[in-house]
Amino acid sequence: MRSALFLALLFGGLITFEASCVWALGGVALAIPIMAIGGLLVMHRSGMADGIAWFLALAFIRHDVVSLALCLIAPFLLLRTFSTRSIYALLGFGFASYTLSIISVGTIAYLGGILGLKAENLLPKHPILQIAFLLPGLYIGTVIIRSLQKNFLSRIALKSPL
Amino acid sequence: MPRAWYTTDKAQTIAKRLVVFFCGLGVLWGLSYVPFIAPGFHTVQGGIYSASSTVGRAISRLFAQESTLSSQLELCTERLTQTTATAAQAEQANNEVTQWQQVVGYEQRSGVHGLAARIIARGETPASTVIIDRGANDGVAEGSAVVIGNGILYGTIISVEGTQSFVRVTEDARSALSATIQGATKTMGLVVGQEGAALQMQYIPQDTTIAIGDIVVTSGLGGKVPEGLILGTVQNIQAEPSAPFLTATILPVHDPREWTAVIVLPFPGTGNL
Repeated sequence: MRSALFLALLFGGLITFEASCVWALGGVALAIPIMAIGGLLVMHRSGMADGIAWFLALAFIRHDVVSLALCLIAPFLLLRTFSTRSIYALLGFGFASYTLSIISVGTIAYLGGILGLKAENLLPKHPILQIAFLLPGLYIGTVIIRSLQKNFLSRIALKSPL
Repeated sequence: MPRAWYTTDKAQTIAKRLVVFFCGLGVLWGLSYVPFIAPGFHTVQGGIYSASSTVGRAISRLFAQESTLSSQLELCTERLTQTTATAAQAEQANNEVTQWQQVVGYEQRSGVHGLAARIIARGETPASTVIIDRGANDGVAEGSAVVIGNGILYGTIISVEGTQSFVRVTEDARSALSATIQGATKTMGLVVGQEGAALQMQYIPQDTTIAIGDIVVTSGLGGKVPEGLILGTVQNIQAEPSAPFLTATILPVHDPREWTAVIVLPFPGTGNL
């Protein structure tokens, strides 16, 4: 269960890092989806259950509909389409999941607008920029995880959830 | 009979992991409300935010377009002008407060309650005439003394209208006041203005004991200007053996241009204004 606790710590640390450090830079840095990158990495390397828990917690904390959509779409893609063995699969999985989630939420917002519901706040502010940052973010995340596994986590005998 | 999927070991392991994960998040959330942990955490978080936003601003300035920088420079120049004007107003207000404090202090020490007034206009030269915002409607009379600061004579009222009065400053060439040395009891001379920064004390008897540095004050002769109001200090003494009187140059202790708050004194023995 230590790995589950480590995952909780990672979630808390990453959400603080995103809000206090990355978004504080301003400008285009506001479009870097740190938590989405973390969640996709967790789901790809640690398992579907951990990933779903990650996105559920994110959706609950931030009231984020895209995270909720990722809970549904990403496991389906991981089971049916993408493997968990290569970095190219990770990049494809991340890109497909996030894009499909944004399209789904955008469709819901559009239909909601037609029906008279105020749904324009469901979409993130810069969806295309976020997708553009997602791919290099996933690659850099993989490099960091491999480095951590080799140099840090194995030394403290912690089974990494990733 | 096959087991239900939720009773398998794998499902139970996953369930335990999820419970631990959400409980861990709950504990982290709860820790943020603990009195001695939350301030430390917020301090660290605030420091990270401050550093990141500084870096972000530096990066945005690097990539700022020329038109953006020009408009920002224009805005900063305009704000500098406004700030300079505000600072000048604040300094003037501060000076005025200091002056009023001195005026109030003089009233409290002397026991005389005069009429507070503000200088609203000046003549072309410092040694000239000024206008104050009090007049006959407030009880001001011609010949009244106008003092500043700590009992320093500023001038005398030469003309009174309904709501304003004209004050001839002591440095004006037409100003003539009976004066004496501080501490003495009888009039020693006449202080006249010199149309500049200095005054001259005339008709000082040859046998008068007067020295450089002595403080010259009004003697009260005439009944309109109270005695003891400071005119200045003796700067030098001109003595000619054949002349019947001495003449002394008196250096005023104030610059008429610096004052805006004054007090109009009543005639001696007539009570308050």
